[in-house]
Amino acid sequence: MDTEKLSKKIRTRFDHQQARLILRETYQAKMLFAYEGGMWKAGPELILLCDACGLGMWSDSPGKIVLEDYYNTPISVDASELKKLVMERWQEQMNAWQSEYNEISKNR
Amino acid sequence: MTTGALLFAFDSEIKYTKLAIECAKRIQQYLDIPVSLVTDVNLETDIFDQQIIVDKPSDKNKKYHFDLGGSSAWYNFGRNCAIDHTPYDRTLLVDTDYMVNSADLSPMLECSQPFLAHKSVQEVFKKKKRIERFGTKNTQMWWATVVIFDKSTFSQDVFAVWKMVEKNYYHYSNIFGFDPRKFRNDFALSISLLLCNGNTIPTQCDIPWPLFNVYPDIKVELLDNKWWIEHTTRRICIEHHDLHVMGKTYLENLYAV
Repeated sequence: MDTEKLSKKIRTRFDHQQARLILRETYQAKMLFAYEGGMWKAGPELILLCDACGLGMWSDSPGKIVLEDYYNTPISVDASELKKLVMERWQEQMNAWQSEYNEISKNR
Repeated sequence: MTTGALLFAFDSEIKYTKLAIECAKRIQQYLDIPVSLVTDVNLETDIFDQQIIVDKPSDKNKKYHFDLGGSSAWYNFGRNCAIDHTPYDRTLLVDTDYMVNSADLSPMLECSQPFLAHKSVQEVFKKKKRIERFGTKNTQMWWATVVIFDKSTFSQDVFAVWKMVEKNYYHYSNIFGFDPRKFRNDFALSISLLLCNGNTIPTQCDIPWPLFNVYPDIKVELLDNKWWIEHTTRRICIEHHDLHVMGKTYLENLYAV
């Protein structure tokens, strides 16, 4: 290996800021899931909406409600079932994100 | 309903069929769906669900490869026949240089949107994702790298118009104001989506996350299932996200093809 290549290799550093940005984008994609033919993004907003819908204030059959999915399509869903899926997906991916975030922080 | 992936590969100086085999392995590993190949010669492999033999497209582009320091032939015509060739009800059409590293596309295959493609793009060493534009009209571009479609009327229309644009590429280059000398499926697909949506920008056809592009001037290494990506004096690693690795020599070296 010539001197120039060697010095370049030494100068090369792990770009933490960019790696974290890419990681965030990666995990935003993993928050998406399909349910009842619609596309949903797991997160606090959807959890709270499912919670409110689960109270049965806006429907004769408790828990059954029409929600707008990621692609603005109205989809008939069971609020409690959807909430369970959202919670699972959200926590699973947040944990994975944290674990990978900590892992890349160790890189030099 | 059947779901599967479809790849197109026609060898030139670059062995696209070899890349297709590696691409198919990754699709099966992460998405667990069958993969079919559209090519011009039968390959000695059982990785594919079906091999659909067609004539090699008579037209080809010359593509300059930054990493090769020269150009090679690139048979990118005829992808708009995917809807005719696919044996599946819902199909994932991907370029052979698209490296599947996750199951992120699975929900897209399970939902009921008739046609999906990437519109936003993230270059791995850039801060912001962006939407590519083309021509003098600054038309928004969808990428033909990853396309998910069913056999609905909308999808059939998109492919029919895509074919029409390919056939009359010079005419459309005049209308949209782009260079017609090199055929780009991205342009043809974008025009098709616009026309099929009544000359308005469709919002229901976007894959929600950006396409991660690794341009050929960026060095790529695959170590323990982690993609180490290096540019000038910076490097990062990506493990659980799909990548569009545009430097074919890096892929050829990685897979020793």
